Amino acid sequence: MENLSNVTVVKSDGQMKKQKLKTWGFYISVVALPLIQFCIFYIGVNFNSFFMAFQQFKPNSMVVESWTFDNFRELYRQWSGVDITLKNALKTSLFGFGVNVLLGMTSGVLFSYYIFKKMPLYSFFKIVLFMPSIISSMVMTMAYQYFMIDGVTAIAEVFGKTLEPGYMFSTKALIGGESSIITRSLLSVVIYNVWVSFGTQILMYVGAMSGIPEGTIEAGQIDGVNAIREFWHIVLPSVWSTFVVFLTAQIAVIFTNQMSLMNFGAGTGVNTIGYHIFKNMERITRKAGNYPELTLYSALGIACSAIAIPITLGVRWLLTKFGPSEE
Amino acid sequence: MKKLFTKLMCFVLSIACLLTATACGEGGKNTGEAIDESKTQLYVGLVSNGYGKSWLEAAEGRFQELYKDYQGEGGKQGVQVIIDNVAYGGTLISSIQNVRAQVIFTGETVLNNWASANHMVNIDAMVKESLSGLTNGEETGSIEDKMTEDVRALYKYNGEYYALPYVTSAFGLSYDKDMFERNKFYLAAADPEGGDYTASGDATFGYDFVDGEMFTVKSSGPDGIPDTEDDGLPATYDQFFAVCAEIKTVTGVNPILWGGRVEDYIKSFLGALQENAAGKDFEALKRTFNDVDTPFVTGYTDLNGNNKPDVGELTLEDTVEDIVSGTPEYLWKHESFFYALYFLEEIIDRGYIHSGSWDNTLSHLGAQEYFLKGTVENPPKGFDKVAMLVEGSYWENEATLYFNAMGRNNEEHKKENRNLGWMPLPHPLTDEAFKDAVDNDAVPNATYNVMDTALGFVNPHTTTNTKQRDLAVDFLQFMYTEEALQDFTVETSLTRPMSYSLEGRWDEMTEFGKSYVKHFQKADLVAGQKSEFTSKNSIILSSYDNFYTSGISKEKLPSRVFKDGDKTAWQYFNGMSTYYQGYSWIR
Repeated sequence: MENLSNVTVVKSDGQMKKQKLKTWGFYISVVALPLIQFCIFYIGVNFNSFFMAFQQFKPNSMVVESWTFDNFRELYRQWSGVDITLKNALKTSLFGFGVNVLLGMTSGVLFSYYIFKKMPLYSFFKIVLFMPSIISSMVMTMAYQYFMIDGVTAIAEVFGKTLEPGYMFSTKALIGGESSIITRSLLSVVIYNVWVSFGTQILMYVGAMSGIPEGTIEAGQIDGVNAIREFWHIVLPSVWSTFVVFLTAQIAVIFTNQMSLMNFGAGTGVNTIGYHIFKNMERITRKAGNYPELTLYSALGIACSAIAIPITLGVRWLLTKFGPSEE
Repeated sequence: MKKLFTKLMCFVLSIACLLTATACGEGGKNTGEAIDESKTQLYVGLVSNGYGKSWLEAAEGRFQELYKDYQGEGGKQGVQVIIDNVAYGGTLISSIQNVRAQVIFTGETVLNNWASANHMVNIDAMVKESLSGLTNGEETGSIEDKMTEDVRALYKYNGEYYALPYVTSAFGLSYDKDMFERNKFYLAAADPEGGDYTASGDATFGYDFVDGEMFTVKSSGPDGIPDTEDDGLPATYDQFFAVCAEIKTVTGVNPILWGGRVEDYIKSFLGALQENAAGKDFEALKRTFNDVDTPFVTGYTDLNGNNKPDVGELTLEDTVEDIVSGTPEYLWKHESFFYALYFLEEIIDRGYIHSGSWDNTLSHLGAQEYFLKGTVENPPKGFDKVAMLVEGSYWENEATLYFNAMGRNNEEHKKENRNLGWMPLPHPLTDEAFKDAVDNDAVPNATYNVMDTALGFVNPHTTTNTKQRDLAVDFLQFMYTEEALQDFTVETSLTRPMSYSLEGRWDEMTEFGKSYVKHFQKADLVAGQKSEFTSKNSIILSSYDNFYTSGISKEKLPSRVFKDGDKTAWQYFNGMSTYYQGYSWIR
């Protein structure tokens, strides 16, 4: 039944069916293309990648020659051999994850609280921190690199210090031996990634914080709760579920996170598992002669997924079960 | 009203989502050129790269004129050639059936893979046919006659031709001849009156440079022959380092530049140094693995007491090792790999690398601009002087924008007026060894591997009709007539691995083009069909990605390893063979 002013219109079954058909037709027309794209480029591609991990291709082609576990054996051989590419890539991925969580996510929550409380210059910070999410990532990384290379050098000169060219992207190990991953280049890349992660976090956290009833905040203020206690006992529990989502997402992408390295260009000396796979995929697909190597990187992807999936689910369960609650 | 607006917005958004469907279907259409319905269209696919398309356009007009009376279907007369953009072969192979191009010139195309999948038309008869008909009797030979036996093998599948060479380019150093002349960076000949044109001086006490007063004659250069294109250029590693030192002293800046953003060009540079140091025989070994005896490095004798191996100090195993019967590590013990790393280490350690090479924001185009502006007499503000650019020989085409921009302010800076040159890589020989080689007429030639994946071929999927196919094959044949080959080289400053004369056309080329082509024409080209053994072991043999070292991640480029002092070239070299101790050949 549909009300039209003060007139009640009764529709026949045929008209109802037609209406339903139109509604469904509209929904289907909107979701059809994205659904097809999802099926081909997500489900199809991932299934293909899974099967490729157990295949061997004929030379110079993607024709399957045999089904085998050799790719995993080769992966193990590369892992345990003298070449430390994979080990360093893993270390870098874990280091990036650690910094993102300890520094990026905690700062994200704190910055969001600062903005939520409308502290001095909060609008300015909101814009600056969200800007990397709006501006093209290519432009952002170039601007960042220009600043880190030329800007930092200019600032150092003001203080009477002359830095060597490319100082902030030096690949020389800061601590540890020659195979250490800790270089100024890595730190510069990680700082960039932490900075660009703030935008989405602030958007989500401030939104979640805005959902806290005003009465709860006021009651806390009346009881003499200071900012720290308000944050810890009221705000954090309210945004905990959002925090868990972000943390879970960070864990899920440990092995696929490229840390924007493809925008930084060659020569950073920084490599993550995700970037390692990307770079080799790009190299392989440019020359048919390299096609048989595709299966090796599929195996690497499967191995990483086998590790990431249980950890992600486990951490999520733990955080949900033992994290603070609004009660 | 609100409902209507909502519905309208939903409709517009749905249409916007459908825009992604434009990626489906035929790719690479050229929508710029209007179709002439009175003529038969011939679509030519060309990959977008640094070679440009002016070479194709130069020949296109002549072909259309030659075929102005061509009787097409439906009463059409004449042919209209339309150039489309196509992808590189690695990507194109999956969409070749949707591409309208009938003749294709592209790169990264493995002939065996394409021909076996029926993605190329058999052109054997055409390649062996006389060109007399197409050239009004000016040429009587065939396209096949223009290629050596080794080169021919690259374009055959099952003994028959399926493609022809598109281009072969090289990687190395470019320099500004005027800058060298102006600043007196050319090496002087030791005793020109006595017939000794090797460089005057030595590494210990220094070399002499042409100054127009005491020293007026240039040395013979890397080819060991006076009065040739490379006169005055460094012939040995020591001479090269001396020239760099002189440049640094005079200009105050480090002479060698590559784009920091494309620092992985270093791998190509190392590859070029290695193949030049190795020579034709060893490079051919990597293709065929025929039982070629080759000595390998076992150590070094520290003759000059500096605790590291230099040129002429390596100890080579007297007894030869059959690489195929052993393990892959022996391949990586060849001295050429050490010399390539040694050269890179020296130019870094001696401080000859321009700061831009370590700048992640300097792209390859930025480096080209820097080189063009840094080598003029008064570089504009913001550009240091620089002397040598590490790039592929195709860079001149890529830098057209910068030539044009500079040319607008100063005629002398236009592409056709710049006096740039291709610098042959020096030899890993001591000065004494080089002099002996000159005296015995045994100076090694420069060596280049032919790019066997840059191909021109006919697409069978768009030439199903015999008439269409014949026209496409005729066009491909036309592009390999003498005049069309000359067009290619004149327009791109690049070459094809074929024999053709540039007599009468040299004046149309830029100085850089002339310099590069004259050098390339004297070089040894390594070609030949790769053996089944080589194909099976392609993962081990993939060249440029294998410059890494034991104990260092592959992601740290050799240039960074040396810059940061992580390893010496000697350690790096030994690390490479150590890595391969764990491998076995796939037989």
